[in-house]
Formats: sequence, C-alpha cells, structure tokens
Amino acid sequence: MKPGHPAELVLDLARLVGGGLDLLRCCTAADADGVREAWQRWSGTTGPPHASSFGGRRRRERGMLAMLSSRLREAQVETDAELATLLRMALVRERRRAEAHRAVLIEVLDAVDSDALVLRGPPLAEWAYHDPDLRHSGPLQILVEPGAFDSAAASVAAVTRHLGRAPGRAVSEHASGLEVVIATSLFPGRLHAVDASSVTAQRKVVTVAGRPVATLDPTLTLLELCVLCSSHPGVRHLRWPADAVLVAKTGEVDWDHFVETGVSWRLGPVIASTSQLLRDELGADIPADVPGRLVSAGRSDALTAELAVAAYREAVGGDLRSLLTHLPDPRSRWRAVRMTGRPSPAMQRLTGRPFRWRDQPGRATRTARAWVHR
Amino acid sequence: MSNPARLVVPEDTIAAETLDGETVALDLVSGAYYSLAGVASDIWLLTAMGLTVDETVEVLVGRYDVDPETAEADVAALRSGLLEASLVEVADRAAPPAVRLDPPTASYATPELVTYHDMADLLALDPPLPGLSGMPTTDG
Repeated sequence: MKPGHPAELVLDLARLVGGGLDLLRCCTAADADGVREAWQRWSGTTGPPHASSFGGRRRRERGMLAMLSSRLREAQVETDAELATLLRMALVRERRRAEAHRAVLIEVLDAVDSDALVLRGPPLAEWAYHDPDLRHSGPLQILVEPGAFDSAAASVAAVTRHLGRAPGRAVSEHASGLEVVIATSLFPGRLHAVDASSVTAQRKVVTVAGRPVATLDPTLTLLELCVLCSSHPGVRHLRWPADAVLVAKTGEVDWDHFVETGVSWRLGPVIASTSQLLRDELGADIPADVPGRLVSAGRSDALTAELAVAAYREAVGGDLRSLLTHLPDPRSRWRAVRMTGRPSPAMQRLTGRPFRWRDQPGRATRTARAWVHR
Repeated sequence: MSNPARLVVPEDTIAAETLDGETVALDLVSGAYYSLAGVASDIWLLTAMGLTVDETVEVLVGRYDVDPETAEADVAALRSGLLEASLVEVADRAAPPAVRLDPPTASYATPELVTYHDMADLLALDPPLPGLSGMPTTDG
C-alpha cells in the first residue's frame, strides 16, 4: 500500500492501540519464550514496567493485569516486588470477579428466553481462554431476534434496574452494578447494523457455571471482535484484540466463511485492516491471504477510510477533536475533517444521511457548541 | 500452652491466595488488600489450616533457624494483626490431620502484614465487585 493512500487512515486508527501493544504481546504470546521476548521488548521501550505504570488513566491496561500476571508466572519472568504483588492481587481479585460475573449471567439467562445468544463475556472466556477467570469481561451483551426483543427486555427488567431503551436496544443494571444490554443488532449504531436474525443460527453452546449457554460461533465471534477493535477509539478494551488472537488460535475459525461473511456485512476492508494488524503486531494465527481476500472482495479503500472515521466518531459520541488528536499527520487530519464535513455519495447512501446544504448551518452550530463544552 | 485458639479465614468476605511464596488477601468488604511474604506467608497458611500459636511455632522452628521465643512472639503479633484486620476469626475447629508447606526460599525474617489501601487506583474495579458495592468503578 502506498504511503498516504486512503486505506492508510484505517490502519492509523487501528494502530491507536499504541502503548497497549507491548502488554498485549505479553498476554497473547504463543509460548513462554514469546512472553519473555515481549517483556524484554516492553522493558527496552519504556524501561521495566512497575506498579505505577498501571495507575492514572490506564484503565485499558488494568483490565489485562490478571492475564499478564498468569502469563508472566508461566514464563517465570521476574518483575520488581511491588509489581509482582500488584499482579498477584489482580489475579486473586479477577478470580472472585469472574465467579460473580458468571453468577449474574446465569441469573439473567434464567430470566430470558433460552434462544438468546450471549456475546463474548464468560462464554468466550470459557472456550477460548485456557483459564476462564483471566478474562476481564464487561457488561453482559445479549443478542435476541427482533421478534423476541420486547419479551426479553421485560424478562430482564424483572432482575435488573432499567437504565435506558432505544429501538432494538435495552440497557439495565443488575444489583451487582453489572450492566446488561439486550440488543437485536450485533453492533450498536447504524454503520455496522448486522441484524440478529442473520447470525443467531450460527451458534456455539458452551457450559458456563454448569449451565449450557449459547454464544456466537468462533467465526462470527472473530469478525465481531475485528469490527469492535477497528471502530472504537484506541481500542477501548485491550481484551478485544487479546480475544481475537486467542479465538484465531483455537483452530475453530472457518476462514472461507470469515471472508464471505465479512464481505457480506460490507465491512471487508475494515476487517482486513484489523486482521492484518493482529497478524503483524500480535502474531495472530490468521492465514496470510485472508486480509487480501477481504480487501479485494470489499468496497473501495476510500470508502473504507471514511467508514472507519465515521465509526470512530460514533464511538466517541461525535468528538472530532479526539480523532484529530490521535491521527499522526496533518494530511490524515485534513482527510478526516473532509470526510466528516462532506461524506461521499457512497457514504451518504450507506448511512441513509444525505448531505444537504440547508442542514449545514445548524450542524456547524451544534459542532461548535460541542467543541466549546468539551 | 500460651494460646489454644484456632482461627479460620471467613471466605465470604476474604479472598486470599498464595502465589510464588507470597500470600495476597483482599477484604471484599473494605476493599483493602494485604500482602504477606516469606515467614508471614507461612504463618498465614498454618493459621488458615487451623494451627494454634504453639503448633505454628513448632513448624516454624523446624523450618527456620529461629528460637522458639522469637517465633512465638512473631506468630502472636502477626495473628493479632490478622484478627485486627478481620482477615481471620476465632473458630471452634479441630487440628488439621497433617501440615505440608513448600520448602522455605529464604532465611527467617520478622513476619509482616503489609496493608494497601491505594490498590483501587491500580486495579480494574468494574462491576460485579463481590462485596465492594460502595467502591468507585471504572469501565476498564
């Protein structure tokens, strides 16, 4: 790919994982030698990590501490005493948390229709991680078909506290504080709308806390993870790329189906850029020809870049400044502003939001207000 | 016999594990974290098994180059600290049938209970947090 090519912008966005890469490499290395090598590389880049390396705003990194702890112990990597204590504490705490997370999942599933699919979370930890307690799972995400949405949301409401509702999406909170999301689309927002009815048949059933739980099959799970990695600022949760590496490693992904489905979702190049990054940076077991097949069968690179910018902005609530801060050069920033200001005709068709001059003064005012407030 | 009491770790409020010779314990109610290394970790394990002070001292004297008086004072002091921190509580339980510990990796040193109240800034505290409903949370 030529420097400055529009698809470079997609890769720039994917690379926002930035400082978390060394940590991810330690967590996802194939073997103990790989862990030691990744640790040395990390230490060589920033100096040996210590406990305070995970303080302040490093939330993404803190969610990976239990996994880091486990991998460093397996590889017999020595850290300073304070970090060693922190890592052990993270491991102990994560075990208790994982147990509590599974209990909430079972309680919620018992209240919902049995056809519901649980996305990622404890089921993924159960089949892709060698120790399910190591995955720091977030809110429970439950996918239901549109026809089952109302009854599922009502059933969950019986065991949770209602927080909010939008078409095809209900968010509530369990007494433990864990958020529970019932959705009819695999991804929130309009850009990556993948209807539940197109994926619910492709399921994998795993046992969580002694109960069978349905989740997306490995191929769709990896696709979902690639989209999440590419469409959230700076990869909001480092567990997603780690998940992707571990899922690819299971040998359960049907790569032809992966490419076909990625293309049918009209996200081929976006998934291609992420899977390329996972291969290049984290050594994911993704066949070398997969990113190329996704790109060649997908949409134009320019539209891919535009899609990535739009998805990024959607993920950060429209904050253009956050995007510009992360882009590496003036040319990328200018392209992002241009794409945001006047989407291409293809993008307008995709989003169903036509560009109209008469809308622009109001839009400019809203943007300026948001800018001032931030 | 100086102190015949046997203690127990309240598992509903304390999560503890011994890894690489260090015991880490989390108080699920207060959110405080504790660390016990070396001899302190041995004393924790023996106490959690239900050994009395005298029984613990006997094991320590067999494992380390330490006189019984010093060991007894150290064990008593540490157990007192553990009770004060609510990491253990007095229980009506029997003596364990057998005691097995990994070989010591260092010589005897005064055991210490290290308390951390600032770990909340370094760990991902997202719900569900068993027993920690009042703690600040992040979206980790």
